Amino acid sequence: MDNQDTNDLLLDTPKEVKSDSKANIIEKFVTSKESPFYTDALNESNINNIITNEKPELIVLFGLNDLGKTTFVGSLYHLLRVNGEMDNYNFINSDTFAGFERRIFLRKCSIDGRTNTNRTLRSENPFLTLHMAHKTTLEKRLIVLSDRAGERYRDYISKDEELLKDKTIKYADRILLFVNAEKLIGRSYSNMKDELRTLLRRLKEKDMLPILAAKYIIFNKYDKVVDVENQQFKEHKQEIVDLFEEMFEEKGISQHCINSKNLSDNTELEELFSILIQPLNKKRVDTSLDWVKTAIKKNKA
Amino acid sequence: MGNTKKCLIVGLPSAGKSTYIGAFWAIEKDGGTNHKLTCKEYPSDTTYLDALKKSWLEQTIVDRTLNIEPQEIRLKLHSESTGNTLELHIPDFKGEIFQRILSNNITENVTHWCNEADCILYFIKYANEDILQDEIPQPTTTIELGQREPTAMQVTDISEWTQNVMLLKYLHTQIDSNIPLAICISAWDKVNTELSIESWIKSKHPFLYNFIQQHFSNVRYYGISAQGFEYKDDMFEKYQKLTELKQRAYVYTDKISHDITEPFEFLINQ
Repeated sequence: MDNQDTNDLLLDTPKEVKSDSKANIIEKFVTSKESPFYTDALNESNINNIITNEKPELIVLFGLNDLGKTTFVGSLYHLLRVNGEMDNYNFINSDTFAGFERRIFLRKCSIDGRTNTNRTLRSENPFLTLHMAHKTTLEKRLIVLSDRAGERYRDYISKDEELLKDKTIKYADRILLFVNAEKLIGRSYSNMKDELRTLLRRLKEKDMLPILAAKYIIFNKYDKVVDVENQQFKEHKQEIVDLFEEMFEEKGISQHCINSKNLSDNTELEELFSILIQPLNKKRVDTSLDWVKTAIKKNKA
Repeated sequence: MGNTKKCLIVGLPSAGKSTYIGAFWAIEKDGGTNHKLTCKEYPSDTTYLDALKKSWLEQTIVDRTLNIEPQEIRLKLHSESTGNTLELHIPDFKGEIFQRILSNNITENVTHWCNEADCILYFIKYANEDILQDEIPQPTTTIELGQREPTAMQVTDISEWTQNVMLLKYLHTQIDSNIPLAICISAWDKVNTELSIESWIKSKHPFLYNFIQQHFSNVRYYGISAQGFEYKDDMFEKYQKLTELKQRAYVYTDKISHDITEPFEFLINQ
């Protein structure tokens, strides 16, 4: 290296990478200009560029705004980055570190008062990935989380056009159905239930409900419920369960009462995370529903 | 040149790269230490090395505002174990340049050096455990609505351990994963453990450890205290004696060694 080159080291001028020495598609999209950070969250197009030998497992976080979906994701990621493992699986990589960190950042903002919202922004890319490896068998798993802004789901309530753009719900391997437990009592309950019914019905009419997916009803913010033994609370909670089971035509959907914000000795939350990290027991009946490949086909079409 | 190796020193701002280089030059430049590597002859221009050495000998933090610009260092080193002499080329990039990679601002020279590197010396500053903001007691005063800041995340909002994993992920895409990688946890004097360095990283920062083990095949871990301790005025004379005895800076694997050439020796003898 001559002196000119040495001086160039000091210039510090940001330039785009021109090297194609390693043809890694993921790296191309995670460093693209549309992503402000390296390894930011992914969108519907670039999620399909993930290269893996395993079929990715898609977990959709479903629900309107202010239900704690982002906090839930932030808590899962935080436990993985601190412990490095969960339930016999080591956390070994992610394509979306910055995307996860952004969710933790939004969570921090809500606490220190820097912003009046801790919600995922409408424009945020929704997809996050976790690469896990079994401690003894070394079996590798790719988990894709869809953490879409609640406002998007709100759009689906009234607009078919927006609803039909969503390519992920139908192909979910697992769907987490978020409910704000705090609102099961009070003035806003009726509208909450009605909005949920409308959203589910619209999805069902368009054949977009993931009937074969594993389903989990998540009663979040359970710590804020004043009296869980209150008769009306119990009735409303059951009405919501009945609504989900009616729409999905399935009885006995598992229920989880959690507080996704608390990470100290939170057994219920950790048990749910453990369930999600474990592979699904049953194989999907319809093998054509390999979500990534299906999405690629649709994009090509 | 068969006897030339290119070593990329990587680390985020304040990771301890410059302090290590200053200590290395101060201790090893005149030989006579019986360390694994010794400097064979002076480089033609040592202005930058001398500035770093001065700070280290005077027990002062390298002043980042001083006009001491990082530059490529060429050291001719002699290996006591192999008898070989080789020239080590080290571009001392600023930590900010590496941090900008995380914001997708990638300097062409970094990419070039990544592709050219024969080995990597990676510095991580020892920091406290990774905790969430809501686990810290919050001040009781709340920020008024008008004082609220926009919610744009800055790179410094990302946990420093995650920043390091992101940077290692980037390096993995640019280099051959078989090249030797020395992971150095700096400010090791602040760590109190009886574990070996590798066991310590595995138990305290398991995700970082998982990531490295999955993506790099030729890795060795070191704790490094180039300063030796926190600088204090009332301890200056005591520390100066240790400096003269060359027993201030040390590396740690499973025990303390004052031969701070060990990471380089691993890197260049692979």
